[in-house]
Amino acid sequence: MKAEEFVRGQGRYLADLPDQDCLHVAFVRSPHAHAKIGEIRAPKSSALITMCTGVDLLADINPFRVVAPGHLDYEWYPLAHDRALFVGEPVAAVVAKTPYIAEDLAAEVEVEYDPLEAVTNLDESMAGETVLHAQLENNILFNLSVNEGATTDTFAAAHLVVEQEFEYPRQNALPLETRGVLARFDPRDQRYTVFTSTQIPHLIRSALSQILNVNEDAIRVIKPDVGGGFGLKGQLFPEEVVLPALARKLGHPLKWIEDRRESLIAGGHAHEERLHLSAAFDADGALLATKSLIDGDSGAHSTFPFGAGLDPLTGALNIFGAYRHKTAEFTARAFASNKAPAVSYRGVGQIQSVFAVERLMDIAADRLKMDPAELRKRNLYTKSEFPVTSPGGNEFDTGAYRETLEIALDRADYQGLRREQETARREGRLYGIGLATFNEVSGVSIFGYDGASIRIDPDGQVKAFLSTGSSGQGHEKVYGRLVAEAIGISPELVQVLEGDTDFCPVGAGTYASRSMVTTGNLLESAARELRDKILMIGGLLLSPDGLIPLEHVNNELLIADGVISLVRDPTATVTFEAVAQLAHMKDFNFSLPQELVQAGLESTHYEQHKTVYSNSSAVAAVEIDPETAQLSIRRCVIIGDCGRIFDPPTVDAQLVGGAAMGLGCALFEHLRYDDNGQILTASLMDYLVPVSTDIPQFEIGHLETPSTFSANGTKGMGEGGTMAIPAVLANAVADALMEKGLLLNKIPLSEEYIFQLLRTV
Amino acid sequence: MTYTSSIGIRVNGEVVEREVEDRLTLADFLRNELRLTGTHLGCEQGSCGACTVLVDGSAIRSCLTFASQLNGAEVTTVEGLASEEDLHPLQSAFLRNDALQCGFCTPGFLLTAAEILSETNDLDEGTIREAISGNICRCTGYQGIIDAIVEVARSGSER
Ligand code: FES
Ligand code: FES
Repeated sequence: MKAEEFVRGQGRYLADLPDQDCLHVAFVRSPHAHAKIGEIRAPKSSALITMCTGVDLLADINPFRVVAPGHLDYEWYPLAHDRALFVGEPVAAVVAKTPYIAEDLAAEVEVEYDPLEAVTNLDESMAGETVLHAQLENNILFNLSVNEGATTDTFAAAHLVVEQEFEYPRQNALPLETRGVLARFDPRDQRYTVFTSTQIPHLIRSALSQILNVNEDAIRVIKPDVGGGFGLKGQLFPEEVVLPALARKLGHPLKWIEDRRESLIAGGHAHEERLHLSAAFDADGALLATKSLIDGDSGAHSTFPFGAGLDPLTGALNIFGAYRHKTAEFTARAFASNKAPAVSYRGVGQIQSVFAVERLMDIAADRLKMDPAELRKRNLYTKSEFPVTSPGGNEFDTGAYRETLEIALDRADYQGLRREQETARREGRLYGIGLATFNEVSGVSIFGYDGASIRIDPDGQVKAFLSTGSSGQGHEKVYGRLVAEAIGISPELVQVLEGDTDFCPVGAGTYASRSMVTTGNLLESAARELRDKILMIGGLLLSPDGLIPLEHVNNELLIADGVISLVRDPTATVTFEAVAQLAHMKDFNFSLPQELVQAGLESTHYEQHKTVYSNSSAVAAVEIDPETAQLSIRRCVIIGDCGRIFDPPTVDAQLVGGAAMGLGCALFEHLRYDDNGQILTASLMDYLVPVSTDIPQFEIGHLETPSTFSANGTKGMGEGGTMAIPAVLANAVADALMEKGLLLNKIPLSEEYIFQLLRTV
Repeated sequence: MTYTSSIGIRVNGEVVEREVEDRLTLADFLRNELRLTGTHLGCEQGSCGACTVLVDGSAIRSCLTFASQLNGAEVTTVEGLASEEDLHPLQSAFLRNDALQCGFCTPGFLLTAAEILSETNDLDEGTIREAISGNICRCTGYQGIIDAIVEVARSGSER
């Protein structure tokens, strides 16, 4: 069992892989936000095995384009060869015998830089005085407008229009295990083996095949145990290209483990956005139309596979998704800046839009003189309205949005909290109650298909191969149980294998809360198919009349705990293991009638899954110290509806763990740069994440409204907890601050920011 | 110029004698020289606690400690907690209470908890929350970890 290996310290993460024959790589990184690169001089040291600059690397790789709809594509290189575009961008790699020596040597490399004007925020990027990519005319890396002008008339005729601008900071997913790569090239079979701490092994293989100019078959990507990903490990990084390219050139396996500083300055940032939202209401508080402009600061490069538009587009496509309204228009844009490239981080696009929309709903409630809960209830889709097509064209199969909010209000004793608030206010205390309610996109399959494959060996050992890849979510346990239950055998017989492109079916990997929805369903289909076949062979052995046709096997035969029996005569049994044996090898008394049953027990299923939408509602109560601005969270209730729940502890763990991460996003996580583009948050002393004493008691609960788009009824469940927290706490803090709270339009809710709001006149 | 020292230390009960570079951290010594890779590195800045091991019974950060300082010391890593067959009570409690997901922080938490419990079993949730606040977990939200330690503390005080 994986978890037992982990508590014994026997996990095999990237850094733990055998590396006795490896040389070690360290990267020379730009200390400038924007600079022309001149001569690069290697240290004169016999310890230096080689140095590779961006220019050197050009000979060995193809330029790479991140091509996606709405994206301006340009050539991407793993090592900067002409200009460095952010502090931390790799400009050269050095190779030495140990990591210590490699790091020493990297520090001794002399690079001539000619610093240029740095673009460090959205306004500068939009102004376009400095353009980052010579191949582009301006700094817009992504631009998409939908339904432009469609809401103009509705807005003009509306009873109330609320409009507000919001800011969401740059954050880092910060998996506790940093990234790392170990690459080998075997000259005999001309194959690369690339171990990398990733969420997307097959997509990495596809990209590498283009960049290294070899067939996909010449590359094996293996994901070892991964110490957390949270979206960050869901893209291609420069080091994943440089190591295999150099390993081939040197004829030596190479290893590189990112350190925390590298991770914070160059390992992928996320979430930074400015959102400008407008909503039109009628006099009864019904939402009529919405208009959204979302601008993301995507840093220096558009990254593969999602591109620079990831955050703004995901937000825009799903904005106001839980609320009934007729028309919506949006523009989503991504701008380049001299900061680390944007990648994904749990809550992609929606953590920002949910915060902004939920703030806007509270502002509207204030203007309409309605209770925020009433305004939401009026506009949330109720169970009987589904299926629903949103104004943006999203299809929601099932849901119970209003009902989820009602459960959350009930659980929190909303009226009781309001009474408590009255008392508190009479005593001069700042007590606030916040709500947040939203739906979340999950199971997104923009890269095509996913696959799941099951192979049963002659001795009855079952192997399940998946195109998804766990980074600690517990796939092994959940999928093992799923296969065992679907076939009717003990979970101990099942081994789950992910993250090796030589064995696993092709697919997009794990991100966007998609695994249970995509490969979970496929695995179940494959397991059912095999069960039917096992029953059929069992029938041949047990039934006096011989063959039981496939359509009837489930009526006439049973399999439980690995024993197959006839329904009409339960004393006649045969074991699963015996069937597995006979499916592969004949014995003296029995051979398969091959015209009826094909030998072997294997099944593979592929499909592209439809997007499904979960939903969540949260209620929080907070108190703020009027002197120090210190925030105390009194209550935090989160109710999620992710369709059918297959493994309750895993779902709870995702919800609570996700909420803890959301707490960090809401209160502290903020990557800061100065005006010159120097990063100010390069250690865990400056970039703060929640520790045990920061976490309130989350009160969680579930509603199960099964999806009809996914055969197993599940919807994604990895991100609702995370998305809920910035929104619900922002509303609670704003409520505590009363009129002053109406100005609250920024995350993080640091003490500094709350203090500043308190002091506004 | 590299400087080295010879050290003799006891790791998980076994005596090890080595010549080590003076700048070699205890974490790298354990991981690379002894192949005890259960001690993880999450920051190498002393901030995350993933590298926590016990030195003479006290929990320390092995990323900030040089192996060469430890001549004569007794070191316990996660590999030294369980026997071949039996898990340490903390390890079992971590499994029962869903105290881990990716497992990367787990060894550090186990050894931090082992130190706390070696001092007293009179622990409530608040004290435990405080005592583990130097360790970071990004996956679990800490509740399972706290529950697991509370459980072991309780069973210890019953004994
Ligand atoms: S690795 Fe030692 S404290 Fe983080
Ligand atoms: S279990 Fe992943 S960091 Fe704690």
